[in-house]
Amino acid sequence: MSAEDPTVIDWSHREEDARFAADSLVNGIVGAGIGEVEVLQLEDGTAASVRPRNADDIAQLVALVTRLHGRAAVTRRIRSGLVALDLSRLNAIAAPEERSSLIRVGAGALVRDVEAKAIQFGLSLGPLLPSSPRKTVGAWLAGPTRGERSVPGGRLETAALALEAILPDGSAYRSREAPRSATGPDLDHVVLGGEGRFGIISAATLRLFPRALVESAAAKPVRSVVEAMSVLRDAARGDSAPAEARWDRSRGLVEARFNGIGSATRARKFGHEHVGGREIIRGHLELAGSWSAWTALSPLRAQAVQLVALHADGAFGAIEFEHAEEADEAASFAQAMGFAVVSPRRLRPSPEVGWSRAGPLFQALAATLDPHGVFRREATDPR
Amino acid sequence: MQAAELEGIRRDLAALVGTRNVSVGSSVRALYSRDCWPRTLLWERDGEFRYQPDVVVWPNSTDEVVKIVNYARKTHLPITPYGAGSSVVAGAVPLRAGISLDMKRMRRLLSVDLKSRRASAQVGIVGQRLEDSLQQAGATMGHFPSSIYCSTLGGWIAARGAGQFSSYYGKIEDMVLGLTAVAGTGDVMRVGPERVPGPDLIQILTGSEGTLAVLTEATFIIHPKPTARALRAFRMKSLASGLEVMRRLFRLGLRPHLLRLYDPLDSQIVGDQDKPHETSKPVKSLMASWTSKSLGLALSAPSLLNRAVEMLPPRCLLVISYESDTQAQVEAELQATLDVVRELGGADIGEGPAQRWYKHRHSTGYKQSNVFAGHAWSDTMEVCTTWEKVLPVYDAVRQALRHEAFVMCHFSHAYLEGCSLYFTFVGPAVTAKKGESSYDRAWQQGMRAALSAGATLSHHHGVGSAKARQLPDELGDAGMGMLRSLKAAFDPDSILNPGKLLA
Repeated sequence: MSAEDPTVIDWSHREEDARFAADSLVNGIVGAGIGEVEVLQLEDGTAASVRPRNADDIAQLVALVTRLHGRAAVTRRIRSGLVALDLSRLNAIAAPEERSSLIRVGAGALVRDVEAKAIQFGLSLGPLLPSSPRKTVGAWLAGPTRGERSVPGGRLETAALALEAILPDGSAYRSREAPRSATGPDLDHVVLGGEGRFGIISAATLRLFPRALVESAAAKPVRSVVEAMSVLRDAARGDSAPAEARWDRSRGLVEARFNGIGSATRARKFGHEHVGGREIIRGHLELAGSWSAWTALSPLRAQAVQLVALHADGAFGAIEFEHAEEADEAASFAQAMGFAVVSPRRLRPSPEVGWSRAGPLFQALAATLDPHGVFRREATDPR
Repeated sequence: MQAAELEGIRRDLAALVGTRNVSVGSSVRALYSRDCWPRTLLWERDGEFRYQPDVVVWPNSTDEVVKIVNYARKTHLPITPYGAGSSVVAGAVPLRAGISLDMKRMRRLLSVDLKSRRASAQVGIVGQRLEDSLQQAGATMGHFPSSIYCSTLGGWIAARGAGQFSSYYGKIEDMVLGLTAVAGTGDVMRVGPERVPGPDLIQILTGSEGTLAVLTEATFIIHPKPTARALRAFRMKSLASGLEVMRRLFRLGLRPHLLRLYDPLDSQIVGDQDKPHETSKPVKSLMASWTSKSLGLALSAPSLLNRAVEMLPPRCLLVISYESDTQAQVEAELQATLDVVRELGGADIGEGPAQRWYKHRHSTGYKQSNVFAGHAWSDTMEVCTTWEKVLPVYDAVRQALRHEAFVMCHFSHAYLEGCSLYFTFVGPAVTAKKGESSYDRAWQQGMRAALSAGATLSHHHGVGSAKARQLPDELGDAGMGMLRSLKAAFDPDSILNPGKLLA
């Protein structure tokens, strides 16, 4: 909110004004009759939780909240003065477009439901971090992994082939369904990983992988987590990265799964044959980082580590600790080591922290992309 | 601009970067009035240098770029960043004069670390020099555009370029890990290579075509140089069966380095026989006229030529290569490919056409001017779409262009979800004026048809000025609004590459 803008009243300097502003905002939302509205009386004012029926509802709501100088966010944590959007009704999952390995979904659909639908057609989103299936598609794509998975060639690629997002002015942005394009900057990336700061994802076309026809697993004894991560780094930088991998302190083993033509040879090169189960670890802390961070993991006292999205430069991983509480302390260490925290959400720094490293331009970007601050975060917002 | 004024600018800039790094010479300014946009070749053929910069500057460091940008802000002189001038969409043409900022003196390879799979370089380095230096260290970037001798790292990133092996290594946006850039505000941005939460600013700067910031340094993924290669060419009975081979290979998890399918006419021109001289007679005679003035006359009725092409046998050439660190791996991948090709009725025609492709893969670049001497124009349009729309886009573009130009197409840069369609079209330009109007009509009709059929306007050439008017049809009001917001934040004085992306 700009102090110089005469059309904007700064309500925030007095508690009763803030309460009045919150009440006005909620009254406006209720009066407009957009979506299903639930009004909650909180200690410091009124709040609204809205369940839009479709993208048009979100667009109208955002435009209205902007006019009322309020704030909106996709969140279940209600707060006075914030219109909380619940996208659970935007959960449509269309049948996959099989020829192009694509699936069109609403942002409120759960990732695990998308995966279940894909599997019916012999397709899959690929190996994901343990917390990802519980998330909505919107939260997954707007979160720190940006919905990325590894693809051959040692690189990462977001699952989002195309997006629909509602922008701060209430307009609907839709990108074209093309595998790649050179029509200017990739504008999807203004909202991918953006935590809803510059737009609310309402729908997406997701890339699916064919379920592996050929798969081979291998294991190798290692003495430490550092050795395990070094082995995986070298495997990921070879001709074909493992699709997923796991290290377990109790067994002293690092295991890797390889997909596709030649996977048996790669598995043999990696270690001895392995037929172990595919159990998912209790990911107390999920991180994204480069190999230099993963190979310096020993201070975190991990019991098990599961890696996905292994690529030439790094991987995403879930870490299991002996006690869940260790995650909080470990998250601070991890960030100092160069990791980005993916989950739990409460341990993630605000996106502004990352953007501020790019210099003063972030402030300018926020001012031009969201001039009324409808999607801005307050320092006191619960996460 | 008056000579005294020009001299003042030269002196000011010389004080910032040194006398030897600034020129206002008329021949230099004429040289920088064009890139490889074919329309500039039409003008050049007739001795016209329409868009000349006032001054050409060669910075040597990021600090010098900051000084130049701050000077441009103060004097309101536009800046057009310039790599090696291979843009085919007028990306490097100084439409509003001002400063042409030639980055080629910022050409140092800063680091190569094969163990960490990362290298860094200043962006003015020419592609082949960069690749040669990496190969000396046992590495490859895996980025091999046909323009590799006449394009720079910065140009690739600015335009979201693709190399011929993108099916394996990805496009440039898949390779860049970090960027240093000077925004239009004069601020230096350093993004990556470590991952930070939030929107990926690298993906915002990549493809920004010099309109948001001047790129100065980049960090990117490198790979060990492959030691084994398997090559093969196949004759497919139809375009549809060739496309189905491409799609199925990706579904099997295969990622060929080279994967290229030619439509029936392009197959004839490339030569789908094991020996090139076996190209059919009618096509040979057309190729013989390629540089003669009779080409312009022959093209005066392109619909007749296009109809004749439809009589060609429907067979299509598919060339493929796999590269890896072991011969066993590439042989296994080739064997899996052979199985798919046979299942779809294709025939193995040996390595010949694929070897020829390797031999001539960089022989395009600046050479397209031959056709222009033959009273004709030629251009290429590379679009991209998903598999189910590839044939409809192919048909729609050919139909739209049939009365304006002689059209052929190849399909490359494949993905699990679709591929790029690379149209080459040749039209008449008996006079420059007629040539320009025929050229513009062909482009407008071609782009409209591609967009309506569901393709993106560009896969790797970029937008520049040539496609800027059609960009709103692809991005819509909301997308264009975002682009304008980015421009307002990064370049509030609109000094960077005006007239590009945002027409």
